[in-house]
Amino acid sequence: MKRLATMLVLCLTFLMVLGVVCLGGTTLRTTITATPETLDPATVIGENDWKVAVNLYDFLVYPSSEDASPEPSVASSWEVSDDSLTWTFHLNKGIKFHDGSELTAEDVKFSMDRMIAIGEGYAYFFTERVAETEVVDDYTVVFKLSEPFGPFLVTLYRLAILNKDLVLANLADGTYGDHGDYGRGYLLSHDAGSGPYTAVDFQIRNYVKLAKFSDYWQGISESAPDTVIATEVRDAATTKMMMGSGEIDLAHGRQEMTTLNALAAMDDIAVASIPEMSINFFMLNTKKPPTDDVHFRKAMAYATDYDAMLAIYPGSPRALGPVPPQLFGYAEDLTGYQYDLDLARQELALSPYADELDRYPIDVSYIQGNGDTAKLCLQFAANMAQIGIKVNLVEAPWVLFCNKEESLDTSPHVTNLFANASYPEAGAILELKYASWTVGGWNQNEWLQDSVFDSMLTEALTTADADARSQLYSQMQHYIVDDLCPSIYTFLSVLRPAYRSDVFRWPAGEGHPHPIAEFNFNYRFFEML
Amino acid sequence: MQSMPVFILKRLLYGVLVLLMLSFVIFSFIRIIPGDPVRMSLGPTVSEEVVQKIRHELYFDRPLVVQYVHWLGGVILHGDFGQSLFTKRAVSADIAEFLPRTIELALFSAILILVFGILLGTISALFRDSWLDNSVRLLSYLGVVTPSYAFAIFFLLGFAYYWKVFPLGGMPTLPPEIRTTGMVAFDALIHGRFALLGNALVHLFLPAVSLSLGSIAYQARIHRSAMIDNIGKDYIAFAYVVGVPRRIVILKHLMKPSFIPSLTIFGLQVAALLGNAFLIEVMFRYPGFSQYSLRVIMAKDPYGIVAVTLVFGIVFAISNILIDLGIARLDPRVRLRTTE
Repeated sequence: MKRLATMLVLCLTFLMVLGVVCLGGTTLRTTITATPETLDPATVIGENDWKVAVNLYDFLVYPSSEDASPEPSVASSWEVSDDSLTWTFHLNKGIKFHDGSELTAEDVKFSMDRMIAIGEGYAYFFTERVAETEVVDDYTVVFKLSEPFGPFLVTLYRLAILNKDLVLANLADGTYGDHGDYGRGYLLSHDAGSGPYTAVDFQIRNYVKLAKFSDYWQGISESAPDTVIATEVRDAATTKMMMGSGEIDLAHGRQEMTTLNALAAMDDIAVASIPEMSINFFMLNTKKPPTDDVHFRKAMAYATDYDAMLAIYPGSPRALGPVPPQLFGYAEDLTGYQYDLDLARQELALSPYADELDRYPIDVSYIQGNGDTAKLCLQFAANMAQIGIKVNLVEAPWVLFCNKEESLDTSPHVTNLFANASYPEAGAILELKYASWTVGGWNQNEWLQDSVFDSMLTEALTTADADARSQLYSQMQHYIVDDLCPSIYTFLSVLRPAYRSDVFRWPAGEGHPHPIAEFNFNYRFFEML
Repeated sequence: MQSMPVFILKRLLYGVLVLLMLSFVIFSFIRIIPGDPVRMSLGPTVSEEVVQKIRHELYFDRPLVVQYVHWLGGVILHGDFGQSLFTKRAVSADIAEFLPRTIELALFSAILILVFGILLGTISALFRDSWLDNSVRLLSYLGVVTPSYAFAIFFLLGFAYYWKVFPLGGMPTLPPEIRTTGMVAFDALIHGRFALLGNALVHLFLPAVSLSLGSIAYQARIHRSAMIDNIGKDYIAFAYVVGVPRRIVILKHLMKPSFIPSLTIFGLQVAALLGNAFLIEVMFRYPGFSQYSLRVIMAKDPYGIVAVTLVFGIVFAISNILIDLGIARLDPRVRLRTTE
């Protein structure tokens, strides 16, 4: 009897192990700094939201892994009218949403109309520009623009295509007329996409669990993870322990240097390097004395010790201007400013404030708890002291920091912040940073309000011809950096995710990061080992 | 003269009044603090038209009193605490999601505080100035001065990372079909899901111990002092003189009055656990209400802030009422006063 029981236990154990091996599949366990707030791609702009969205949804065009130029995706081809106002997209047939229904032009139109109606997230790309979206047939959709918009194709990377029928079947009461809440409530925790992964479990501020969509229209490799669990982990000690004990395979890329060094020292842990479309700026207020004087600003730019700044964020490349180098339209011939105290003093001597520096101490504001930016500001203050400029460092909580930026009176002389391009063209960051219509936000402490720049920008954005647009972007960068010097550009932001190289391979880990950071986390391209 | 139910009713009414005042004060503060929460939530690129629309929907463009009355009506009539700009969900849904987990954590901690705090305090008092008493006092000193996050790091490193006895944080998912209270271990228990119950308890153990150790130490010190204070009283000496057995003297005549200060401190400590759990929740990746509270405050999420303040207020109010009832039960003088 005892022997029989032992045999039974052994058999059961064997079957259980077999079951786990056969049915378990591969799971990639990753961390994120915060779970998405919603799975609705029309309302979000955050890094974590889009890391998930690129897996759940498809787009008309997809950014190439080389230079982020548009490649066919849901749209197999497209053409644009001579006046650059009518864009026609021909869709692939047989693309399945996660519920098995087919993606058609109606879904594309619905997604664009919905995004514009809601007006949040990246809707500002389209709100003033897309006059009408027409469905020609099931597989042809036409966008009619109110004015030419050069970067239109690349902004479509942010138009995630939703399953119209599924969303309409899940409307709740809301403020969008016949569309009720436009499916916002449903999409808080459900996806309505056709992407390579589907959301199977989502607990806000906890985790999101994705499962491979086996009917994905582009095919999905056997070796791609079957399940991905992205857990919110922000604490450095917990991250180190989880990585060390093998509880996570991929840590988020925003660790502080001490944490990153500790992770990198562990066995089988590698660290990828993913440049973001983001630059660290010292934003100089061009409307407030003494930073309203261009010579004063140039003196500050020459007095900044860039190598010392880079030592605070090791591995980050130096930025010479406002545009990250992987963006279309980056000015290759920009020389920027180098640390040179003699030149700094020469520029300062040309400034009307040169003889009364004591009367003009400058406030340098930075956000509380924003990585190592406090150290950058300390370094900056030390550099300015070398040419006699007094600096008051002001640490501000995020709420107050933003509030001060709302008006010129309360904006400090200098702020330190990372600013991101929202699409992979120079125009994105040039508009965000320096256009007159973007003042009053936390991304522009410069208060540039320069009519010449505004005209150049408007011309560039409405130029359909890529070469001409690139040339205009280049001229703008020279005008900004060489003539106006409204900001000091320190370095390009780089994500440094640590990962278990014995668990999976991915292009970013092989030294081929995608130019748009979030697209590096399309798990379709991961290979479990 | 008033009966106990009238006493309770009165306390409840005072509690409600205080909470109403508290919510109005918080509403006023939020309006005064600089910064537009809607703009912060939507980002700088969203058009002013959309920002105005959301402001209007959330009553931010109305006078303070109008907004407050509208909000209060929602709370009273529908249990609707407004919309969170931080999670984009109804605040009531957020509370239902996050609060039960922290209550469960606090309850486990409270049990540990009560059992071990009283036990250690009693042992220490009964063996006053012995090596046992000295050891407990030394440990309780250490416990009081050591912050809970230090315990958390120690336990995580020792029991979860090196020895792997416990998991490195997290909490198992509560399947929707068995969700009754939102407390994972409790719902698992009442639905007979014992595997899930075991898993939840294993996940709760280290956070609960980390959270409670400081309070256990403090509770032990308070209880020891109360016991020592009572040991020297005449009625204890009299009990011994008339031949009451030591066990009865301790359990009936010594413990009961000593519980009065202990219970007051215990109630306040338990109520404070909700707020103190923040670091523990972060370190153990425990998706609870304390984390949520801090996030909504940092994001200046108006309805979220009012709701979390109110929840903390309610917890403190209920704790105080329970403490009063407990003390009335233990102390006949208090009972007498309430009925006079």
